[in-house]
Amino acid sequence: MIALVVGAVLAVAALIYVLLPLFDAVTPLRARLTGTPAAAPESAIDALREIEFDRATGKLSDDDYAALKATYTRSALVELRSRRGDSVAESTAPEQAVTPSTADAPFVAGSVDPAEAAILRYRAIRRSCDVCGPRPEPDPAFCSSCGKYLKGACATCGAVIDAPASRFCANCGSTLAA
Amino acid sequence: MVTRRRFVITLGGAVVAVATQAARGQQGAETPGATMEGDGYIPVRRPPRAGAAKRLTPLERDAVERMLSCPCPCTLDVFTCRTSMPCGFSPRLHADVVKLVDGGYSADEILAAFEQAYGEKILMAPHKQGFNWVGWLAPFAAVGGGAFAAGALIRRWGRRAAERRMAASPVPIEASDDEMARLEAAIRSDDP
Amino acid sequence: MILLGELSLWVALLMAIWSATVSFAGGRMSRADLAASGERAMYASFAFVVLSSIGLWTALITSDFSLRFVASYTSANLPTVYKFSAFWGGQAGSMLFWCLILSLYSALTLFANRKRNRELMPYVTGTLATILIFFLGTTAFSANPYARLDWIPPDGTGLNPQLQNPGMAFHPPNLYLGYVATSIPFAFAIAALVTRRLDAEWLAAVRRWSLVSWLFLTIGITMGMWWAYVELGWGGYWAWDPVENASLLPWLTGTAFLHSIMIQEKRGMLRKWNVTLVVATFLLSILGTFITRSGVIESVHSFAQSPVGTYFASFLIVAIIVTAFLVATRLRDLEARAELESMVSREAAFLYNNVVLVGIAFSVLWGTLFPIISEAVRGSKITVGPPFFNTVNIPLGLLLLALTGIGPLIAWRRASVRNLKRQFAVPVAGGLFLGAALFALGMRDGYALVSYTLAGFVFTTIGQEFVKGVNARRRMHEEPVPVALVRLVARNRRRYGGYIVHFGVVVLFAAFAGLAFKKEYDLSLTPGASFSAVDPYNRTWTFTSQGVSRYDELNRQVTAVVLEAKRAGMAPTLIKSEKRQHVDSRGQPTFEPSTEVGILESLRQDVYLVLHGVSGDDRETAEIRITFNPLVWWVWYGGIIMALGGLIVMWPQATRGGARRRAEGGYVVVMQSSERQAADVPEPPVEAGV
Repeated sequence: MIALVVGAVLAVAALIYVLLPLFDAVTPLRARLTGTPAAAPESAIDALREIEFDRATGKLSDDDYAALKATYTRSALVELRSRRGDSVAESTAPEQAVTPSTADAPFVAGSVDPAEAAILRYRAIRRSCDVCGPRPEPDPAFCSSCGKYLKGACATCGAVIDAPASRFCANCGSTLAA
Repeated sequence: MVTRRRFVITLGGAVVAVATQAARGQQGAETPGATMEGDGYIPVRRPPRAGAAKRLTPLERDAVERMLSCPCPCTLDVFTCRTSMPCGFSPRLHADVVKLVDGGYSADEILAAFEQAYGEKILMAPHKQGFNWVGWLAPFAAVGGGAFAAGALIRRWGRRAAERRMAASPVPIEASDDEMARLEAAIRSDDP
Repeated sequence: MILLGELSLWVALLMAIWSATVSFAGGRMSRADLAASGERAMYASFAFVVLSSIGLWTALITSDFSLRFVASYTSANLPTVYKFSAFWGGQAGSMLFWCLILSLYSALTLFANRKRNRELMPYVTGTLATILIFFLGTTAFSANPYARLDWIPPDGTGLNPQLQNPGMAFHPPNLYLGYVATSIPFAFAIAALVTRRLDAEWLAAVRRWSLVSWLFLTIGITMGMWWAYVELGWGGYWAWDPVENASLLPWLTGTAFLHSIMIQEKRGMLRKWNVTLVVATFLLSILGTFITRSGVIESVHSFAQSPVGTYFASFLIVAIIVTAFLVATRLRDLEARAELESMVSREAAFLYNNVVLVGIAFSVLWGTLFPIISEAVRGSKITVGPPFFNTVNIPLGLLLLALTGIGPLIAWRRASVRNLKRQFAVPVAGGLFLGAALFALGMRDGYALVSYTLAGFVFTTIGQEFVKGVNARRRMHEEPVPVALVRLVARNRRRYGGYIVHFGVVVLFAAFAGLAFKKEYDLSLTPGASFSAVDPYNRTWTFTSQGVSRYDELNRQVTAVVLEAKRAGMAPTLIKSEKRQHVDSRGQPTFEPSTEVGILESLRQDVYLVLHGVSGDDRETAEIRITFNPLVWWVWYGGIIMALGGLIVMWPQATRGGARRRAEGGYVVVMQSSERQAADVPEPPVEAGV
């Protein structure tokens, strides 16, 4: 008899615990990305480190090493610069993030292969939501997850565009794409 | 790319085929299973040979028992069954084997006698003949085929990669000394 | 407590049903509130399964024979440890045990991912809840441990004496922990397939859990071998019986997955193959549980016979259809993203390793299924036993051993033949040297010679890897040898932990090959009589019977023989083997008599004594068998080394410090770009770039 009562009480308590979230406001499922991302595909820098080590242990011949080093150094540089491309879009201090490094080592579209240039272009226009992180859609105006307005970057000078529906860049005055 | 519709159609076809097969199998399967009714033990006795002398040592006799499967549900051979978790069968089969050994029969003769009584099922592994070759060779065929497929796959990947390397003009990226220095530092950094 | 336990089982089932329904709905409609409710239901389900398990344990410990399960598997005089472990000694209890582990793992997974993989989690929860529904449902409806008897027997049947062994108390839980852990990768695979988020993000969670499963299966299988060896008394540890095969299958595919996942991480290739392996490993675990749990199975025919079998067969078929559908409709999303740079590379070696591992798994499954195929085609029944499995798997196993040594010598990405010659020179020489030395010492068994040659090759490979790695570190970081060694492993746990696992494999193979040299002697000894025997190392032993003794213990009558073993250069030692007749609390015999073997163990060989029985008028003549089993102990050492290597691989690597330092250098690892958030990454200091 006691067991029945205890069981019933526990079951009701569990039921309340389980059903409670349903009384919250209906919220969309969204990516709460506060932890570290689960898994990174291997970065070119890690690959380069491994290549160095494999050479040091004699596993890579000099020819293979040179070929791999060239390929992965390129990828690593692209990785670095695309990282900066991201930071242009995400940075809150645009005047700092602009071009000193590109002026230094001219990052001209012609000097890389078309595919990589396309990746870089894509990364440059990709938007990121302050709350939910980068958006997967090309060129969104609002966050597809929480609906917040997404800050953009001026294609000409790289300044952050933070007013919704801006038609012109507040920094350099050039016309913005829709 | 398999569409949802194609998946369902294929699956449906397979289900129908299996169902008809099963229905056909059901009709024929009634009669021959009768031997497993009741006990299932079949005595294997042979009159001792004239002037019989044991031809097998106890260890060789055990080797014979390792080639015989115990008819109980243990899935073990007679020797392993009777020495580990004895059931109602393995001691009786053991007794039969001992009598045959005492009767002067050789290992092959004993195995043949048991096979005659119980069928091929009593042997721990099927004879290497006829359809059984499928059983013996399929694993090797599978590994061989898998290795061949893997080889072909690697070759295709290698070719595609080579084509891509040809297509992409290998123009080196210009990098400032500073960039290179920092890249180098990142690579040399010990912490993974 | 028992009533509460029974109630909890049903509440847990209801909670799991709610969890599955709401989670899938939450994922489908993208509603966080539904998903949250689903997760809470999973936690609640876990709590109630725990409560239910406590209930059953209470019944077992207090010997409440009104429950059929307690009466069937325990008796009043059973030692308490075995009353506790009887939980997984019978079908109904082990089903509940499965539920307990699954709900525990599920709760852990949900908790660990409460802030990660949010798009995936509703489907992960839903899939896990569905599996839990299946197991809880089967437990509740068809194998209920709380089923009652109409009358209360004065004593229970007792636990099978062969299960009254410490090995048996730990072996099944380890296997179950391993089997159940495959559900988590499976759930993530399903979630990734449903949401089409098939990039790298799901792989981390999957890899961790695959390792958990691999580790427990390795420990479980090793313990099973140990149990069979010390308890069953036939002198071996692996009989290729269906239950053993069933535990080997997911281990093989899981091992294959742990290798091929590296190719996906590094190259983005083999995505379809990896999903297939994850799914296959899970399905094979279910198959393994089923084969283990349908009691003493005759063959796969018992699928149709017990009601549990029907449940399992249906579950397997549904799972196969659902995953086949998901994979088939998402082939395009699973296309490879990158290409191989060279045909000669470690990637290629890994591909062959996968072929062999899966090939062995196939041969084991094939051997188990071939009787059915043969019966369908020819109409005659056949048996496929150890002779088949040995003939087929020894060559394949040796091939695998060879690949264990070849893979690590080839660099990732690309390698050239000229350089490979340099890499292979020392290991090949090492292997050939060992093989030649053993041949010169008189070893003539073909397979054993090949085994030891390959073992020498792999061992030298591993040694060379460590030596070269330490030297490279000393050059690159100017560290002394001990520091370099520790950091070599610590900085690249996956690679060097893996090598330690490989070393365990080498030890295992060396031990397996040792069995080719075992020597057996059958004899009858009257008290005081002696017998001389030659062991595989050509040393002469003298065994003298000290007589047969009979006495009673807690729940058994014991007949024991004691031998004195003597050998030149060794102090005389006593070995004892027992024949046990277990009795219930009223002194009535239960079960068939069992054997307790006597083992005189050493690194070189075991002297293994089995008392077959007593004979003679005075029942004083002992019928015994003495076996010299070379190198058996190395099987357990191999298993332990593999488990330790697995632990090193699993140990979490602190990456944050490294990422930050790299960021300070002006570089940041580009994570899967859509997953990276600005807040996570320190901004590269811009001044440095000027």
